[in-house]
Amino acid sequence: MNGVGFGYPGQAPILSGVNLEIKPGEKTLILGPNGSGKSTMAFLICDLLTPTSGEINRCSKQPKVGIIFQNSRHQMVGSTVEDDLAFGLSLKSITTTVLKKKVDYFLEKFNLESKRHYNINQLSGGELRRLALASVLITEPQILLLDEPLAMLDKENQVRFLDCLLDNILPETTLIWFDHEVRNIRYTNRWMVLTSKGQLAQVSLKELNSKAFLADHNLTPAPLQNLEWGLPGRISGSIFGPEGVKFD
Amino acid sequence: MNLIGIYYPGQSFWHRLDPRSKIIAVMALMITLLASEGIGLALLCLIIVLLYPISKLPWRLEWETLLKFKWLLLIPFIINLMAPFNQNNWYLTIVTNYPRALSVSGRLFAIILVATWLSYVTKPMVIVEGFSRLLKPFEGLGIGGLDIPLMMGLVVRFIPELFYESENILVAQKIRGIKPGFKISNSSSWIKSTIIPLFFASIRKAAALAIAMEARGYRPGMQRSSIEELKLRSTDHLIIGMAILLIAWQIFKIW
Amino acid sequence: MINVKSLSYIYNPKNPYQTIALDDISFTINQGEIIGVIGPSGSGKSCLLRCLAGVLNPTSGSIIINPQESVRPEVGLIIQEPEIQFFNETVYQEIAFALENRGLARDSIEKIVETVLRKTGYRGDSCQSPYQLSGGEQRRIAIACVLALDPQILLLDEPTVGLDFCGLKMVEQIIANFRIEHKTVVIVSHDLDFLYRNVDRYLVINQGKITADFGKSDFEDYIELISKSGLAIPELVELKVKGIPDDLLQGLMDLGL
Repeated sequence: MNGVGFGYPGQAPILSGVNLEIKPGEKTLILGPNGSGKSTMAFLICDLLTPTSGEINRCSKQPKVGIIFQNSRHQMVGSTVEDDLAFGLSLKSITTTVLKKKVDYFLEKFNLESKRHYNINQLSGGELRRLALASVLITEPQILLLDEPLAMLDKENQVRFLDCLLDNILPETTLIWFDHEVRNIRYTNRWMVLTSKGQLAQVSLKELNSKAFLADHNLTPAPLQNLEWGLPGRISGSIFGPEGVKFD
Repeated sequence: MNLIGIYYPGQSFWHRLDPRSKIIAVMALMITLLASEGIGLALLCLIIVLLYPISKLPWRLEWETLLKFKWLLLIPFIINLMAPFNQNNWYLTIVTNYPRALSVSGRLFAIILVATWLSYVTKPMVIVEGFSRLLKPFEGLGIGGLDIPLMMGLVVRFIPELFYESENILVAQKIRGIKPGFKISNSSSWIKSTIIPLFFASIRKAAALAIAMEARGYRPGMQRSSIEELKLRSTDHLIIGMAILLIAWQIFKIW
Repeated sequence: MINVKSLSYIYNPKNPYQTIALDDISFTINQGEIIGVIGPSGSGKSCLLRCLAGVLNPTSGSIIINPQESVRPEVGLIIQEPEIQFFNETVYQEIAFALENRGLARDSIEKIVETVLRKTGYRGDSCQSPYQLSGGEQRRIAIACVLALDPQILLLDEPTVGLDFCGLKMVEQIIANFRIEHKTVVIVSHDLDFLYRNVDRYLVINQGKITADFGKSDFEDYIELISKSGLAIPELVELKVKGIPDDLLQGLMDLGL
């Protein structure tokens, strides 16, 4: 993206002067509070919106993109688990037998086989999120966009979702994760921050560890970051969660 | 539990037929019904009544289906029985009108039975897929090309969700003091506070889904493969052949 | 004070396909308590809140709140995503709606709206359309709509869903205010970290029955039960169990972790 800006007519621009370069296979986290333009960026990348200024260059003409939204219910097309998985595939011209086989395979992989005929309204939040992931991955996208994928899930479902995600994406898949919780940096290798003025900046571990920085940008600290700030030196490794905690 | 209009699983010959042949057969039967009178009509009604046991559907299902439509059957019968009224003489009126009343109700009776029969022996999405494929040759005329299975699927998908939302909205408004019980005095309050939020919620959901579908690669008017396998076998061809013959006979009769 | 005795709620009671949401539950809540209700999804927690609020009539059993009315005005329930209830043209009208239904006079309504907007930290104009606000602000207004009723008992159904850091802080502030005013709060949440920061007593509900009822100080004794119900232990408790000294923990709690 080069100098990309976006704004709705008559309103203040949401994004301005965004420069971003992502190579295939990179796993990037873009941090920003609600309303900072994360969803807008996701739609721009997907080519659902056209930038009002600047340009976006893509390596191939129309790379296959998949998005997981914050509220998985919003992206369900089929009324049953099976139907929704089939939807993504039905958009390609493949035979019915191949389609059925793929659906079966993914049901198995994501632990949804037993819920195959369930109506989407009968699924729990965690299952819906896994279904959304499965429906997107079944089309083998080159770029995967996640918009706060762990929101609204309790810890157990978050773990299950992350397991499904990490097990099923290929090294060549480019991952772009939008969130406001700093704790998610451990699943990605590049980190950027979207400021309230709609600009994108690379960010270092040091900055993410600074209370002032996080407060300025309205980001949610990892739960144990407060530990380190309040009682410096006694606990370290807090950004990576309890497993990484060391005491003095 | 409401058993009407929902697929009743089974392995009968009729269950296994392609939906297209069933649809054509049903259309043929309906055309024949409308063109029949008297004994022919009665015989046809009998055949249709027997469709259920032939397809291994229980008698109870047939009976309960009819019960659900009792008013739709009784009211036209009574109206047709009473009009035209014959010179203040009840007995004469009934005697002159009852053949016609019976014909009209008989046709309604059979149409209801045959239509519900179709929905019992065929899964809903399969019926929709069948219709869609039958309409394909008419695409140029602007009828097809609408991706009807998708539209039907979305309707089915949203109904429970909207019910759920309307429940939530009602709870929220009750807490804010909507008095329980719908009365004329507080009806505008009721209507505003339930319909407007539901309206907005539906539009929001539709907009979000539209974006999601585009993101998943959907473009309006595109060709899609189907998860339903539809194959015309020899039995289907037989049924379609018979149906076409039946329709041709009716047209010949009228001519 | 809330007294619940043998409360049951069954969906489709005369049907062979009935679902038992709440099964013969009994407990007592004293004034001023801040309680967290936890349990796996589908365990009947939302149903419990709705019965307490008087929006659902229990199939059997009784709920006695001092004092008692049909839809209990002294109980305020904030549902899971309360923004869906908006239907007015301005924020003011939205909040005034509940007060108008109570028959209050114009000037009292104005005063209450002003107070309640301040309490939820809303920094905008009351003539704005609720549909043009950001998510966080919409949540504030929705909460204000219920706070305007001045409930003595506040029921929150998954208040943390969809909120970012600022929003969470706002909810915690409201709970803290209720605590100061010695009023009761009952919170249903799957976010145990949030509850651990704000709540004194826990009720664990599983398949319509209460499987545990304990205070914050006894949390460690129930870790196994909680894990078995499929919930995640708050990180603070995990640390405690790993043996962090108490003064450190106290330090973090003071920090508002």
